[in-house]
Amino acid sequence: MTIQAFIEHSFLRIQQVFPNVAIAYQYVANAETHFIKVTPKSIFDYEQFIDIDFELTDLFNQQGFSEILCFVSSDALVTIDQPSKVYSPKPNSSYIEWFQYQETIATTVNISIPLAEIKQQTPESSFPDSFSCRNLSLSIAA
Amino acid sequence: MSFLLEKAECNKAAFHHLKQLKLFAAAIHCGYYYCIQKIIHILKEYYTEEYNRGLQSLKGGHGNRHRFYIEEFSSILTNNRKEQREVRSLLFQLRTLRIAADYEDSEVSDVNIEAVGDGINKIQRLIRKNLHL
Repeated sequence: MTIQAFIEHSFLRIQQVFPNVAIAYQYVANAETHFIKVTPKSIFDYEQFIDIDFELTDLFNQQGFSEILCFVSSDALVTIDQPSKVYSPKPNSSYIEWFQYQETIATTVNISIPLAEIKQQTPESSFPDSFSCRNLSLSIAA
Repeated sequence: MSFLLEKAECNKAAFHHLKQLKLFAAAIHCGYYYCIQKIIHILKEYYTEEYNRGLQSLKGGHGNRHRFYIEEFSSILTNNRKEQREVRSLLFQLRTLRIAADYEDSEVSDVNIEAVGDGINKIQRLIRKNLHL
């Protein structure tokens, strides 16, 4: 197995179990280290993801690669800013439905508060430019 | 105290001092070597057989030794796989940052140094929790 084939296999293996995670791969040549970044962190910490991490690390070691394999997440110390391979999940249908529902609410419910309805009372304070909340009465139009 | 552990403690003190002086690249170098010297000390002192056997089977250059120290240490530190993985990943990331700090023509920011400090503290906490050292 070549390293490219291993990285391809790793992406597919992770996507197979967690189709909604984002994956990025970057090789840091100076440190001879292959970084695979998986987000969100909540998934990264799942027991099931830890199984995959160990499985892939064992497979990597069995192949006798001379480099290092390192899994990281959003709290990584290293910056994965030039990934050579990326997987971004598509939003699933339930997310799309949820966003569509939110849009419907935003366009059909119109809450308006006419500024003319806000009455200002004479402040009791000795500082005429400032007033406390209690001195403001708000009447909101239905 | 062993000389190696003493040197590790010097590197830890140097990390904090260099960080205050804003000499970040040198601080990262010392922070990484503090961790590596501490784990070599633990392996040699408390897991002598595994350490000697592992070193004998090693091929390749010095970089392979660091890989061995990190992998061996994270596996003996704890049975908790999440913690094993955390220590392993942190040490490999510190190694990458140390190499970049030593050899690359790039700046080390104060953001990086804070994260490195947090990473070192996390490793220390896990050693204390699991090995009481």
